[in-house]
Parts: sequence; structure tokens; C-alpha cells
Amino acid sequence: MRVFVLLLLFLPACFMGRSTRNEPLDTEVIATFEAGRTTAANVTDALGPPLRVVELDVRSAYLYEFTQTKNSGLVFLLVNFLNTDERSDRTWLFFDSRDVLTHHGSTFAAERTEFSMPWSKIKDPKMVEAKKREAEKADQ
Amino acid sequence: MTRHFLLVVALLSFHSMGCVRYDYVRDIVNEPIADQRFAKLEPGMSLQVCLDQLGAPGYVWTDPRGVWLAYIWIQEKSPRISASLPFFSLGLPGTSPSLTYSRVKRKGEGITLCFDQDLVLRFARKGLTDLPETIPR
Repeated sequence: MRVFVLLLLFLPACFMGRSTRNEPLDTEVIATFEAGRTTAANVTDALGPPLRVVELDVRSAYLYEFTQTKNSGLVFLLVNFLNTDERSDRTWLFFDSRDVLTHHGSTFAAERTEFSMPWSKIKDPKMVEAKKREAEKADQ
Repeated sequence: MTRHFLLVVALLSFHSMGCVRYDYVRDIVNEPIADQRFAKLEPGMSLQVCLDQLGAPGYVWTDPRGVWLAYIWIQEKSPRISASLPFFSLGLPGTSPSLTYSRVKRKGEGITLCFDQDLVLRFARKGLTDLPETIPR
């Protein structure tokens, strides 16, 4: 009985949790946006209201962002190892004074969040992309 | 023997309440901009070329110097020791008894880009010294 109680006290526990903020971005819709043609109204019709609107003198910039966070941990009695990985899909759209798209830039990193431990290596995004392309080629 | 056992259980229970804890925490936020990509930035480049090279920034804002973009990331490992006395929170006098020592302060890294009013790159800098006081988003 005593041994059992002591074992119970020393047993480690692990946890994993995933959370997201905002709606995922539709990459196919974003790819259709064209500088000089797409208007702010076209964008809001397609993606809904932006997360942020920044006034840049006569210009404006809209932010759309989807964030994914993965938490993982190994919990012992006195020592805990915790890892938080938060990455985003994000797109900024710049409009001129007539609300016509002039510039846009996107980053899609949310799917690269990982459940890992603090000592494990962080995967290089370029390597992940390269492996993905190789897998796609192999499928074809 | 029984007394020793109870003492061990009492001590372990005290720890299990979160009184003393050692956390080893790694925080990852966003992905860093590689040095090679930063090195390719040159004054005179258009905003679109910069966006194509670096992707979407975390922050965009304007000030009298021009239009700013900031790319920010955190890749930090931080050992933390926490100590707390939970019974103080049961209405006994005193402020919050929790005491946390953070050996490494949470710190962001990044680069900032400054564009003129025609959205042509004036300069790009490593570090976040140009970030305004309030979060520009």
C-alpha cells in the first residue's frame, strides 16, 4: 500500500492542448486578389471584416489572421517541462486612397505548429516545405 | 518507519499543491526571418518585393518618418522557479503570496522596415528598438 501511494505521487503526467484564434484563411480566395483590380469591398465580401484596419495617411492596410497554438507538457511532482508553439496564417492587404488593392503579403505558418518538448528541435520551415513538395511530387 | 513515511507523504503533498515548482518552459511565437533573407533587403526596394521576400509582417504602423513593418518572433527557453503559499489566499492578511523568479525575461526578436510615403524601402534594421510604446495593431 505504501509503495503504491509513493508510486502514485511520483507518477508523471503529460498533457497536450490545441487552441485557435479567428477563422482559418481561405488561401484559394486570397490567391485571387489582384493589385490594381481588387477593391476593399471585394476583400470584405470574400473574407469578412478584417481583424485590424490601419490608416496609413491616405492609404489603409487590412489584416486577416488565423492563429494556432499547441501546448504540450510533461508534469512531474517538482519539475515540469512545458512547450508552447504559436504560429499564424496572416495576410496584409494595402489599399490606395480609392480603396483599390496596391500591395499584399501573406504568411501561412499555422499548420507548422507542433506538439513537442522544450528540448526537441524546432523544424526549419524551409525543410518542412521541401518535404511537402517532395511528398506531392511522389503522389503525382 | 510509519512516522518517516507520513513525513515523506506530507512533504510530497506540500509540493504537489504547487508550493515549490521548477518549470522549464519553451515558447515559440512565429517563425524567424533568416539572415540570408534579411541580407537581401536594400533601400529602394518596393513594398511588394519586400512582402514577397518576407511574407506578412506582424505589425504595420505609420509615424512622421514613414510607414513601418515589423516582423517579430520568439524562440525562448526559460527555466522558472515558482514558490507560493496557498493558505495565504484563504482570507489571511497580506498581498499575493506567490513569488516567481524568471531567470530569462520573455523577449521578442525581430526586424523593422521603414518605407517612405511612396512605399519605397528607406532602411531595414535588426532589433525592435523602433517599435512604438503601444502595440501598433
